[in-house]
Amino acid sequence: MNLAFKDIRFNLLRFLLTAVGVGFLMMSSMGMVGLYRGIVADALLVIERIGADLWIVQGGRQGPFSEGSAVSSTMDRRAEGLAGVAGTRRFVQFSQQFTAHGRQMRAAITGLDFPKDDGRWIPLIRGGPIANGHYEAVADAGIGLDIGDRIHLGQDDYTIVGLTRGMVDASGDGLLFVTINDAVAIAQRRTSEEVLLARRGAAPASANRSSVPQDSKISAVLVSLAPAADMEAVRRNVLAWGDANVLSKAEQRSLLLDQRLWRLRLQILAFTSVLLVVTGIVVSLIIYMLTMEKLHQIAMLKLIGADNSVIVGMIAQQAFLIGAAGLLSGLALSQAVFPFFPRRVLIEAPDVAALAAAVAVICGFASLLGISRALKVRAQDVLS
Amino acid sequence: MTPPPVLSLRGVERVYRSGDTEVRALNGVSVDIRRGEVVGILGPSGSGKSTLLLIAGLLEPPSAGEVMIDGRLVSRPGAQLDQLRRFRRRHIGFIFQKANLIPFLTAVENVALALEIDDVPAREARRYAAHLLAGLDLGHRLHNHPARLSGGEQQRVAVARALANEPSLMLADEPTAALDSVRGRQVLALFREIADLRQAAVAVVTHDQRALDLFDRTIVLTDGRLSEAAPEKPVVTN
Repeated sequence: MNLAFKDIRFNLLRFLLTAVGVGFLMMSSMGMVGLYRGIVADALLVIERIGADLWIVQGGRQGPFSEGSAVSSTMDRRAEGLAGVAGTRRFVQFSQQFTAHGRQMRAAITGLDFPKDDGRWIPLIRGGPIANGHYEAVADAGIGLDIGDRIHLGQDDYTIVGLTRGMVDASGDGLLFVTINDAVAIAQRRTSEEVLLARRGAAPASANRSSVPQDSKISAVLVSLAPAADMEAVRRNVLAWGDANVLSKAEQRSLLLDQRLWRLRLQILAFTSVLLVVTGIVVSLIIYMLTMEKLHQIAMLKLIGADNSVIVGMIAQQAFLIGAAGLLSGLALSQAVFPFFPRRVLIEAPDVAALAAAVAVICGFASLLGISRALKVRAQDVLS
Repeated sequence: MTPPPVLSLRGVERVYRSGDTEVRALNGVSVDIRRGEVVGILGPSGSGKSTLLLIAGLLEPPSAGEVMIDGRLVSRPGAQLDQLRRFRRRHIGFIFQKANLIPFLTAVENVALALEIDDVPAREARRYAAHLLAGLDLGHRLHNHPARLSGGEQQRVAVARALANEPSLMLADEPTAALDSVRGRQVLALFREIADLRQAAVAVVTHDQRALDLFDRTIVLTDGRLSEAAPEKPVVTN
């Protein structure tokens, strides 16, 4: 006879409420880890998907994902001439706020080097890729735009021709893909005040410049290597120019994770640890209280001659069932709730497995607390 | 021929110490209870009745003296009673003032649990538990949880649980205290029947003077001493 199951079935509502309570704690822990994973995935999204082997960036700088970077608008042609280079694309990305449907929207404008890059690498959920050199855009659904929408950026109107989902920059702003020439045009838009100041010669920028200090709006040149190319040789050649730095995909990834997002990662991981400790304390208390409730019955079991294994089994099984039910309800809640969160919460199987292992340890510890109390109960306590 | 005692207490003493204070709960008590015998243990509060039951039930060791059950010396000063759980569940059945049923188990499960703990297969345990309960007029209450049973029914389930492993010794501590006089007498009559039919030795601690006629004899404890013992009736074994 499985006493743990019998007790749970008899007190089903209490068990379910306990499991849901623990589930909310699990959901919070999963959410924190998922938020961390989501931020990392979002930050790496462009680097991973855009398909560049090397990033040529402004000399002495670490590239557009770490700090400001501007390279010559013709640097892609220089790179094309290097041995081992199969192709190059210019890259630009910047955040832009604009009004559409009567409300303020925010997007990370990302330039596609059309026609070399028509954005076929972008996963579309509706519509199609950019087909014309100007005034077309592919938008992430998170921005709030739809196919056919027209938006005013810079001096021009753009039509949304395709929609993606989950394509965001490291800040969580949805990506809005336009051709690189359009992106440069949008970036060079100046306010009337800027123009006025430039004409008077009072502004730091000259009349034909924007307030952005660099001449070029191109942030980087993406290099695709030939299959047998020597990456190090290409890197040496680029560095020899003197006005450019070169970063591999791994270096870009490392820059993002270990520098730009380092504090955020640490903060989220620290908070996740705190949540796990809280979960541990709460689950331990629940198991301990459930054991305390049963002390009289445990004394009775001892009186009728039950071995300690029967009592230990009952407490441990209940602890692990609460843990398992909490984990499952936490997973279900996560699936139901997190899609509505503004930033991506990425629940990955290894993280769930790690959380399950943590829950197992917590339940084991909680069981030990309950068991140590139960084993102190004497059979004669049934008379008290 | 007089059957051998199922329970034999020899010079049992029990002393509780609290700091410098010493309380002698039992003082040199010697009692034999034989098969088929129902013995009432009487005495005022604090006379040592419950302590006697704890020591006879192997729940506490005596401070001095010996406890023999079924001819085997099982407890003496310093005895490790936790190691006697198996012996206890096979030889001793307990009934208390409160039925002490497991609330999340049905009547039949409460009884079957005592058997399953003794490694009886689940199906067989349930069948025998149902048989025992039917024998106590609880055949229609097998699948009810304790909360749905009356006090008398709960006590009968407790009796069935105590009987499940066919113990040779039944120890009851105020089993009728929570019952009305009719139900109380029914339960004591049940003990009489158990002693007669199963040849178990039954010791009942009680204050209930109305049930004295159902006992073969009574022993009276005063201040931890056996102050009076009615003469034993001849017990006939089947």
